[in-house]
Amino acid sequence: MADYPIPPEAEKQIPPEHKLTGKVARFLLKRYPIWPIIDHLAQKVVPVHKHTIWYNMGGIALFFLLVQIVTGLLLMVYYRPALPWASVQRIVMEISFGNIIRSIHHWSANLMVLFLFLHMFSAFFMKAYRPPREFTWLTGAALMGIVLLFCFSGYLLPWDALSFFATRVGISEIEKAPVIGMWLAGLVRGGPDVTIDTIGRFYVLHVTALPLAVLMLLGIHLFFIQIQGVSEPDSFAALPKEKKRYHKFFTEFMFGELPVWLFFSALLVALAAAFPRELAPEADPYASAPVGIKPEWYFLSQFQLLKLFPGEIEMVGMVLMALIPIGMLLVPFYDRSIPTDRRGKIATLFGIVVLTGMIIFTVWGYIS
Amino acid sequence: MIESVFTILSALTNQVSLPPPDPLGYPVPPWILQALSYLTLTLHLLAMNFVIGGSLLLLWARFRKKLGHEGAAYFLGSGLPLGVSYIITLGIPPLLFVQVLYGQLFYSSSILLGAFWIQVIPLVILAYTGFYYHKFNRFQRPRYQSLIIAVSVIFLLYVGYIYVSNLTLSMSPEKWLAMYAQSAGGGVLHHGEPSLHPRLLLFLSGAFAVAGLALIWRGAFLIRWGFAEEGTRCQKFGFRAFLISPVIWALAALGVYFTRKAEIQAMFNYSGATIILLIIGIVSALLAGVFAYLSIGKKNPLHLILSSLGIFGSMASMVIFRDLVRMAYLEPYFKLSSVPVNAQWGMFALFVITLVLGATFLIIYAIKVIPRIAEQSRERLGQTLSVK
Amino acid sequence: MNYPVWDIPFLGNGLVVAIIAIIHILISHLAIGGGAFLFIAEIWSNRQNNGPQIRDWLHKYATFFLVYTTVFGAVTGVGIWFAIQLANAEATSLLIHQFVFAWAIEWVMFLGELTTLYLYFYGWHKNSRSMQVFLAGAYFVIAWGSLFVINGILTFMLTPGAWNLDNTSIAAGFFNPGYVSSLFIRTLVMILLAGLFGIIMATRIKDDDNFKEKIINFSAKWVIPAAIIVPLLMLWYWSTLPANTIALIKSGATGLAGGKLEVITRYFWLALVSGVLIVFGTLFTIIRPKAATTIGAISLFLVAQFGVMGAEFFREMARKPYVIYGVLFSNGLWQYQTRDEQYMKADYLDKALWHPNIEPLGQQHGEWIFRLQCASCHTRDGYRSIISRTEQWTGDFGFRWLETMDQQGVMPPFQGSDQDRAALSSYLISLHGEQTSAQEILDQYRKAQADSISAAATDTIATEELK
Repeated sequence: MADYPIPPEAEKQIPPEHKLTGKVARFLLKRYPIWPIIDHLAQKVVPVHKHTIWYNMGGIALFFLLVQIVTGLLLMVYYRPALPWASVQRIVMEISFGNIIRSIHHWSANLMVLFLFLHMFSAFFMKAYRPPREFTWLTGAALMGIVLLFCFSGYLLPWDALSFFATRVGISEIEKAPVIGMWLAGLVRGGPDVTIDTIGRFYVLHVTALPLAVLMLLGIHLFFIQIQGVSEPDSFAALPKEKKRYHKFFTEFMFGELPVWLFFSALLVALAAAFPRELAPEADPYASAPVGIKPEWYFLSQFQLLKLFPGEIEMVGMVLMALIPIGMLLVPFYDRSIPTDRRGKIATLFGIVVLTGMIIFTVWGYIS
Repeated sequence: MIESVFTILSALTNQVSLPPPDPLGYPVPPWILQALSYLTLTLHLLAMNFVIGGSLLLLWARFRKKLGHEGAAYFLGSGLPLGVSYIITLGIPPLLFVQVLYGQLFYSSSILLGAFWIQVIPLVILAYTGFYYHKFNRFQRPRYQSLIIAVSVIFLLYVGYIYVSNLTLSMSPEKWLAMYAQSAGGGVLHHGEPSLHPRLLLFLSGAFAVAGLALIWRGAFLIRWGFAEEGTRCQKFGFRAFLISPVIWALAALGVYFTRKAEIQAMFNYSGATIILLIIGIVSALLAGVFAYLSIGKKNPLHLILSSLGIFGSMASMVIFRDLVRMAYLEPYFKLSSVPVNAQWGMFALFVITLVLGATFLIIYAIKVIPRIAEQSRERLGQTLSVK
Repeated sequence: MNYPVWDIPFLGNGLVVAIIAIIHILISHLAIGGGAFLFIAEIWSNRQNNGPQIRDWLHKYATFFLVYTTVFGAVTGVGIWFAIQLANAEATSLLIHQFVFAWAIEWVMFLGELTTLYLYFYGWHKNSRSMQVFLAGAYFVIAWGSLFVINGILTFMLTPGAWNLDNTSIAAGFFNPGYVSSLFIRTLVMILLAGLFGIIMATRIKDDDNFKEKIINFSAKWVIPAAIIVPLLMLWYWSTLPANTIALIKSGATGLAGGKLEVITRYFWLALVSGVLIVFGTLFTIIRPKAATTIGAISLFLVAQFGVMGAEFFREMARKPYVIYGVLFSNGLWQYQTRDEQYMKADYLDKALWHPNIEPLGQQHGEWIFRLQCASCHTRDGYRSIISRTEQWTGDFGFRWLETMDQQGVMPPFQGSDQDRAALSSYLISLHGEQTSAQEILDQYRKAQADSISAAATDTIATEELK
């Protein structure tokens, strides 16, 4: 039987033969010629500068995604799409720890979106999207869209008054799209109104289609980052080589970051303890919508913006709303140069306007 | 047994919204608690006056740079955080004893001012932080540092005002129901009491005397260490500050008198002790001033010690005076003698033993360590003064 | 009932206590554990080659420690005192009058620990080695003494043991069933916190990675005693809890009452999870000490803050509905008063002191009953919201429910007459926008009573006729 030979540079770097870790390493390397990959990963570094903290945002969002997968799987054990509200009530009231798991799922979703916004905007302002990283940005944007779809689809699943009406209002916005609006809304809903068939669609999306998509895209996203390395801001890249400090990702940076993940774990349990997710009464399609119903905070700014364009000028609002994500999406093709030039400054300004606008409209949405 | 006491006490006090005293009664005869509270309150007030007076003198020294009191300013700035920590620590026993003795009054008034009473906590934290920040950063951005001290002092003055308002309200149960009906969240600070500002001023009247005396002490050490010029200058600064206090005291006392004329008259009639205390207080303060003057430039600390005792005595007699005033005010509502004593002599003995042991321990180690700490100051002074 | 209720909208007066207390506990426990740390570190530094380097680092530890504990620890401690007298004057008065000399002894400890700390810190460069070691040790012993005292008073509230109003034995109340287990748990947590703080300060060592590793390894060991022994002590503590509390926690594990009653269970799990996370976090830190960052170390410390939040909320909620278990309910009702049926059924506003003249059954009647009898635990639309808890209420349902509200095990019995109950029920449903006056509720009830009596009478007549 032919073994793969262990490369000489590998022999120098892996632990010695007599140690357990050395034995395991040799066992694997003889069967799988993956030394180039390991070597490459071992060289992955994170630049150290005053904005280093923003590099953590993506990892933290990943943490929350992992929490979502675990808690989501647990919830799936008892959730019944045919009896949505009753099964969620059972989870919350009868199943051991059901209430905590469900509340953690809710809070982790919100925190994931928050940290994704932080990740997106920090990558934007640090101009990490510039060549050669355009497709990292595009896959990231796709991931953002998928996560928001996760949120929208998951929101309906408890089938309580709040989720029913929020979904109904949300999909009715789709109806307003030109030409395909009604058709698309019907497709999403599985009919003219939100029914148990909508749950069927959303459930499949939420637990199968979207998870497959997110894992694929995330894999590609992370693969790009592994190959290309972490992006460095201009001020750092301009430094002479001796002045640049780096942390090795495996295992230095990772171990430094792990306690932060533990903090967020504790935070999730604390939020679940102090602010458990309520279950409103079961949805009644014939009842009227609760007064002053609003979407969750991550959709609130768009909701509030659209309210500024009622009636006939609705279209203007929707076009404006569409332009913003398109503008963000296409920025790598617009702002390409190093160091920052006029276009770069415009891109930054655009980002500031969008961020500030989102914050203002979200707050406005809350207090009105 | 406790239950019947409760019923009797409730019946007595039902006319006004005055809660009955705690059914557990006093753990020792009230005069012991009063004596302990007088002692600790006096110490607390001394610390408080040092911090307020010291901050103001610090600001003055910084403001009037040409007077050359940087050394005094440095000394005061170093001592302020320490002073605040002792204000807090020494404030605990009086707060404890007022709750034992006058609990039903104090708790009621505290709740009625609750929204303000709780503000004391963040305000003290902020002021304390300000003093520490100043101590560690005082050579950077001097004007900013002075602002920090000024703001911290204002916070502490506001805290003092809240205290005076609370304790004065605790003596006026007739106001309580109306206040509670007005704001159940304790949002009323001013309850129509005209004597609050003069009272606060009265509590603070010793500020310049105490801080000034501290500077005279500093000067005495400097002279002992051979820095006669700096030392005497510091002492003169301290003495001039000292002289401000009697003026403030007189203004404050007149203010209290004129805003509460009838009650003050009645109180003097209530007990001859109050007149005696007033005289002792004034005489002690005067003697303190005389001895402070006489101590300037001298190596022998005797006059300085006598002056310090004079200040202590003056404050103590005012503290006792004030408690007699309180008992007079409360005559129609509540008498200390009406509360049964369920003696806890064992616990009291344990406390006394702990206090004696603790104080002994602290004094022994303070005597061992403080001279060494002082040596550091001496060395630093030697460097700064020789550079000049 | 004797005192006005400090009516804080949205938060409730209890949460004001909780917020201050949770901040204070983390700092105060560090203040004591840190004393042990300074003591042991001083001795350790004497035995190491690079003693001066260690002591330079220890000076940084001590500086942050001094400011953090004296400024924030001491003042928030007084803050708890302020807050409890506002939130529950009756209970505070009981504790003060029972334990005044215990508190006075604790004060001697405060004075001692503060002064000793100052002598240690300000004498840093001048005191002899043995003096420094002594002062650090003395600081720890004295500071621990303050725990010894306050632990008695705190555990007394939940498990007064043999103490009651007829047997006010201080020893029985102070050395109550929950005392020892709490004392040990808190002491071990203090040691753990001192280690976590040490790790934070170790991450500030920027220029010497080997030294950083050495300090982290030293500090991380302080987590071990708590990691091993606290779980066992928790079992002991569990055995001292009142039976009703244990029932509450267990029913909470499956959330039988719809997520409202199980809040105590959720906080219990928060404390437990936090503890486990700290152990894991410390393990990670030991595996790669050089990789430890300040943010990571502070994150671990914040996990401890969450653990404190969980444990202290748990401990406080374990006492429901009492503030002194078995003696005094949170809303000022004494346990002995509940045995007097006449007293309980008498008009509430005649017994309560703090209300203006109220027209019986008028709009204000119910509002003042709520404020004086319920607002000590419930806010209207905030914490433990009464509006959300009475969402499905009708006037009649509320009227009947109030009569037996203590049967759930988390509420005191209702004090007051039928009129009071009707008024309160009317007020509560008015918060939802429903207008049913107290008089209507009373009339409805009396009519129902009359109907059922006449129905019973008809049955009796019918039965008689059948015979």
